[in-house]
Amino acid sequence: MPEWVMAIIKILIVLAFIGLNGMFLIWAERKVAGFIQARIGPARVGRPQGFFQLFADAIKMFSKEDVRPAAADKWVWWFAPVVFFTPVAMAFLVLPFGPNVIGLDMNIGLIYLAAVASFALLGVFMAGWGSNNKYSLLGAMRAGAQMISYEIPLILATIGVIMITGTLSTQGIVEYQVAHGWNIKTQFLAFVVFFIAMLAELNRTPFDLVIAESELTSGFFTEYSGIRWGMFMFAEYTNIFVMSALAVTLFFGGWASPFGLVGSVLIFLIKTYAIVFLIIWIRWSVPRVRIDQLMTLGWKFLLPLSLFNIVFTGLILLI
Amino acid sequence: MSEINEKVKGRLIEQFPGVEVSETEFGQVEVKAPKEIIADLARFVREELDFDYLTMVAGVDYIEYLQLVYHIRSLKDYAELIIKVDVDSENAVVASVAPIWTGANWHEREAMDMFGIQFEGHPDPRPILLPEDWQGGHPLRKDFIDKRPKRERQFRTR
Amino acid sequence: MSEIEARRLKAEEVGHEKLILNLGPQHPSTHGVLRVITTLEGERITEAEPDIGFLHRNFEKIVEGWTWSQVIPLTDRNDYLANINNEHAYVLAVEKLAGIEVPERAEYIRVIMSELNRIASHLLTFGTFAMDMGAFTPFLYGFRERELLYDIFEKVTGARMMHNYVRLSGVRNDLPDGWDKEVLEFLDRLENDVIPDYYDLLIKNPIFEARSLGVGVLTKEDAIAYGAAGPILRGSGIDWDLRRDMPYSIYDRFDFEVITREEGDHYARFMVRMDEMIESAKIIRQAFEQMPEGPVMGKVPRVLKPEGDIYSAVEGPRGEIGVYLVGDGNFKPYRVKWRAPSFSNLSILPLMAKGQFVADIVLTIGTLDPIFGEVDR
Repeated sequence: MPEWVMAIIKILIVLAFIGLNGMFLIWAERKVAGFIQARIGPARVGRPQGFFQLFADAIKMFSKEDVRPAAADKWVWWFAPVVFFTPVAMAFLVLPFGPNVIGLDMNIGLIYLAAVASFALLGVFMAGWGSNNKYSLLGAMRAGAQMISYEIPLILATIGVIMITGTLSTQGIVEYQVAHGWNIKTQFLAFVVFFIAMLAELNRTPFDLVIAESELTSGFFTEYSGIRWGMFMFAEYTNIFVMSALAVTLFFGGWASPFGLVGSVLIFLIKTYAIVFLIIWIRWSVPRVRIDQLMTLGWKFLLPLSLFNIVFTGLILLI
Repeated sequence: MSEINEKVKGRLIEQFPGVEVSETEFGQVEVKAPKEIIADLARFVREELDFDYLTMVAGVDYIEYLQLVYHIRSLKDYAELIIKVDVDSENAVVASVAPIWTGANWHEREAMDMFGIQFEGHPDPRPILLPEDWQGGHPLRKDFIDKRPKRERQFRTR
Repeated sequence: MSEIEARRLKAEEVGHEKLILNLGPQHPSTHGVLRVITTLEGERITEAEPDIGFLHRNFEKIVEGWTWSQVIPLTDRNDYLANINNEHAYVLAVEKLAGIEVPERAEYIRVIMSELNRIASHLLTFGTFAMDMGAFTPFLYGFRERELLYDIFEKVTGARMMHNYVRLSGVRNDLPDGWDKEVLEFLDRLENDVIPDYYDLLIKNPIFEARSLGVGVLTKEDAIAYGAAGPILRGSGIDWDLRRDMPYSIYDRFDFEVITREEGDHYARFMVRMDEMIESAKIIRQAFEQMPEGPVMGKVPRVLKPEGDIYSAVEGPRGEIGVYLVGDGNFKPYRVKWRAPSFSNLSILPLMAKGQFVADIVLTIGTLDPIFGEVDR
């Protein structure tokens, strides 16, 4: 088979996975929320636990009217969901699902991920600016401050792992853990920083200031509806998956398992969804922080902690 | 209770010889004052008699004249005071008590909306409950007629 | 002049642009149809101006055309979360004005229902405050208990919210058999399970404390000057509760504490509400113990034509609900003035919001807890 056919097949698989995963997570979030909030959650569509709600949701999103505000900056507004969505899909290129199940095993995988992930901010900002809505603008401004501030500890936290494993390739990191055990044993501090920064990066409670329903109605996607809104949602949930997968890769041994190829992929997915569950759980349990508290946490605690972790790891490696 | 009321009555008569001071059957001191002295009276009861908590300012339209009713509590002495001020309905202007009790601000704006009473020295004299561009008169006056066009029921023709 | 300095001067010349942001009238956390015109500098509010009147229906004019007893159901619609308290306020004023006697048992029933309504209202405030803070789950937990309470109401009054239950000279009907046991069970659950749950769920959370402690401080002087009422007054350290200090109905027969907190911040006001629920439960328990048998309706003249004027007030969940009545010897009230606690409370918003973050003004509105049925009347 020529290489480009393989590439197209891979892209199709990734897109299909993004769609299914997004729908599944939306359903899962509603279900978990229902469980936490002492109610049932979706239960009407489909037999086991309203499972087909996810298709109902998707169909609803596709068939809804796509309203554009009259005063919006047309092209910026139009492209924002695409710009927000694309880097998230691009991140799948280097996620190692199994021993050979990876889009492309780059030797700069982590740098690629960091570069691609910071691109999402552009989409958020375009949406906030293009909507010509003050809530959206405020949300976008907050997003700018928040995502840039938290990207720094997020990336610094991974440096500890890179120092131990001595590679930037995601496959390489997993292979190191297959040999030496999970990184969480030595990099617990890094994981804590990573996880908190990850929540902020994903705009999830307690750091969902960018969306903040009760203050900014819905932040940067206030003015979106129909499938455009759906794209933001899909991108967001896919992003949750990507970040969780990254956390699993970096700290929890990735696909490392004794059960062969299928077992590896399954183990990887189980671990990832466990972290996703943790994120959902946190979302429905805690209130939201304020912008100044967010900044204080990011710059005064997470950044020094991540730097300390690097120094500490370096010292350990030296000895 | 009644001791305080007696004391309040005494002080008021002493300070303002012209006013009518009485006690209602529900244990509240009631003062009927001419509108010229309302600012002085308010300052006096606020500062000297410790009536610090204004609960409401109510207008009443008695057709020949309007009346403003202030109900004030003393949180320290557990006493209540009602001040009644008659205002001419044609030329309804009275001194504002909002500089004395800040909370009177909104209550006076409401009386302004509903009765057309102008408050001199009010910090922010704008309509509060009625729309800013309301021209239809003062709803709680007895001679108010709703001049808005009658609303037609809307049908959608198919 | 260095380049940086020149740049700064230029920025000052141009001036900071202020953003005027309309919060509401359609906004998820304005608790109804409040519009706040805020002027922002970055995330800070330099000025906030509430614009009210979207729900204005002129209750006071409408009731001038109705008979004295016809007014009662409409008072429900003023503060639609404290219906019995509203009815009680109005009925008490008319009874005082007309000199109507109320049977003992009816008084007890009124007290029990009022206090239950206070609990229901505070439960809702608990939930909405949490939601303003971005925690959705406590909101639903608050609503769960409130719903159980509404079931209890329904058994007595037949309605969940708009009860129309308190009548001149008594209440509409007696309590159903075994109802007291249900209420006591509910109160036990509230005190032993539910409120500790709320503490675990929200109040002990460090984020909750960081968001509410020391934020939106209202000083004693301001609270009195603005005529703040209820939990807002008591949250600022003023020991004032009409139920104890100027007892109406039969409140002088119960032993309860008036909860006050000195700090005057969001946390203080919030905790005053939480603790008041327990005090209300105490009152209800005592009322059940003391309650005599007997009729629940007294005698009312067929045509009521009271004369004179009266100001009478009760302590509702949001503070002093006052009614000023003028009767001119007719079967209709000449003037009904409704002193709504939320109206006075909301007038503090510009003061409190000044210099706050956008995120905090939402909490400030949540903790002032205005109900627009009674703000706009």
